[in-house]
Amino acid sequence: MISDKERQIQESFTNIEYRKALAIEHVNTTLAVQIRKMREHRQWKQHELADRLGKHQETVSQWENPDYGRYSITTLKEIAAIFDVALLVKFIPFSELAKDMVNLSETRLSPPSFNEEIHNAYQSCLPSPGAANTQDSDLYDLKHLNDKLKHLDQKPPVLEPSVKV
Amino acid sequence: MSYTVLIYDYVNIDNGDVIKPWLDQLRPIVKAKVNARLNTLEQINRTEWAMPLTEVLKGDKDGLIAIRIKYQGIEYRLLGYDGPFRGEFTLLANCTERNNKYIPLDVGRVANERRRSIEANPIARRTRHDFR
Repeated sequence: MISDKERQIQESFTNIEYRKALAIEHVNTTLAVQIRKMREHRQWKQHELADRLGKHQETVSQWENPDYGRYSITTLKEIAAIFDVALLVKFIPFSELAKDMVNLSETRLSPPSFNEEIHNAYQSCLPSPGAANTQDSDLYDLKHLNDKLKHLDQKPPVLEPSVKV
Repeated sequence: MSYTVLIYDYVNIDNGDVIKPWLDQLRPIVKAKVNARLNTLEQINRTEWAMPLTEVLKGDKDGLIAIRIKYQGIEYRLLGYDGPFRGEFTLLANCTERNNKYIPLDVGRVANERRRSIEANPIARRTRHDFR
């Protein structure tokens, strides 16, 4: 079952000039919003992001403007590296574009860095306070995450199950 | 507080949706820019609407928000407001901006009149934005 909006977007694809433009504008708008949201999530000013990339603040301001639209893949790779997120560039059918357009969740617009992902995963598998037992699988997950955290560039937190078994 | 809004179009009592016909007569590239922008705005936190995506207007346009789109030197503006109901943003009028002036010059007055019409009869005077 698709939403009215997704169906409308799919119907709009019958105009070839429009669908080509919409595909480009979706990329332009989403990239601009993503860069701004990822920067603000880290509480960086535009000039701080610019400094980290060896660019001018005005360049970052352009990237965050959806009307800019002249990103190079090389630049996007550099931005992804600074934010410690992955960059995925691929060709897709228009049906997938419509799906993507109506599914811009907060996590997709401001993806967590690798370290944040690990931290969030660790938090989610911690036994809740007062839980009677910690399952073997929980212990396995904690050990697995501990191993992963050893490879992080930041000092990992002390990871011990909060419930005695 | 985190919340998103759904976008609606003003409905003229005689001619129906006033935003859709304007969009349909634009070049496809400009229409695509507008719809891509509106689609994204619907899915980001309303409190994150800011320049250069949108602009809070003052003076005779107090309470109105401009959605900003630029293509080949032309600054398109879609004026709207938060309402009539919570979680809704209604597009009221379109114009262009040149030398810091909105054209037509009376677009603020038109937008405010339409806003009052919606407030008086919200069910009949607005419709969900059509993304086709």
